[in-house]
Amino acid sequence: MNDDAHLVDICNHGDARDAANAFETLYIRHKDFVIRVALRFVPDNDSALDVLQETFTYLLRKFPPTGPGLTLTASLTSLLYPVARNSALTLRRKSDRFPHSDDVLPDDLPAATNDGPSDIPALLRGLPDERREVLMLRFVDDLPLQDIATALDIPLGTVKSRLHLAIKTLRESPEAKKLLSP
Amino acid sequence: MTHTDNEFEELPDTLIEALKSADEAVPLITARVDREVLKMAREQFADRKPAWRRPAWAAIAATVLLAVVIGQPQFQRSSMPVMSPRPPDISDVLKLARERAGESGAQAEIDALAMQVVSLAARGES
Repeated sequence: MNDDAHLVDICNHGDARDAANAFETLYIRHKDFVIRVALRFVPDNDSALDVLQETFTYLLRKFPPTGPGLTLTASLTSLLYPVARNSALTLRRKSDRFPHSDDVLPDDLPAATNDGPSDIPALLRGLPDERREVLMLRFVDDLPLQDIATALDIPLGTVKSRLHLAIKTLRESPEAKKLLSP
Repeated sequence: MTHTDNEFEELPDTLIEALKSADEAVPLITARVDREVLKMAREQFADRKPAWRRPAWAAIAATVLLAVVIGQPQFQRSSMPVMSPRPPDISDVLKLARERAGESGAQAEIDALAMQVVSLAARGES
């Protein structure tokens, strides 16, 4: 199977058919990741689809003739994540309908209940954005810490610190304790 | 996933599964979006020529270089009058000697031409 760097190289230099096929493969490979990221920042599927389209349009424009070409220095997900995130945040800012978690007062947060695994989403919504996104990138998207640092454009130490705090909150929560109890 | 020393903090699998479940929004990527993105890609790359139609600059440069090298005097055929309507004579030998003076291997050719002139002269053809 062609790796992303090889496909990116074909998009840079291949002929019309090969480049379009390589881009299609990249799209199919990463579209679920992008839309999953989008849905962490926007509340509905339609907005997430807009983010998906914007993210891949951005990627496409990197290739000739509109762009100088792309050289992957990290994983493609590290490149796609900030594009999807920023696109989603821009979309969210444009609409007053979507409240930031930062803007939400503690009393507005959904109360954690003892009804089972569904408590975890409420717990996640209660985490500060920057901790939640590091936690999700690490454990849901399986990104190595260095890739997370690249994706968020922050030092590795900051990633570790945010992850530590997020894990601490998670572990100490009644929801997690209940899940971990025999 | 490759774990390095930096992947220092782990979570129990149960919690990881719970996180993944919480993130499962089951997004619906419509065929329309797929079509639009892929249409954009085809348009973006539409003007790319197939590799065999693109000028192979290296091959062109190599051809030009070869032509220049072949054009050098040492790569031209000797002035032996192979296609000449007349048999070679001593003036051809002298001309060849002047043109190839100092070249390695030239002396053998000069000698061969001289021997040909001598043999022709001996047979009375010169």
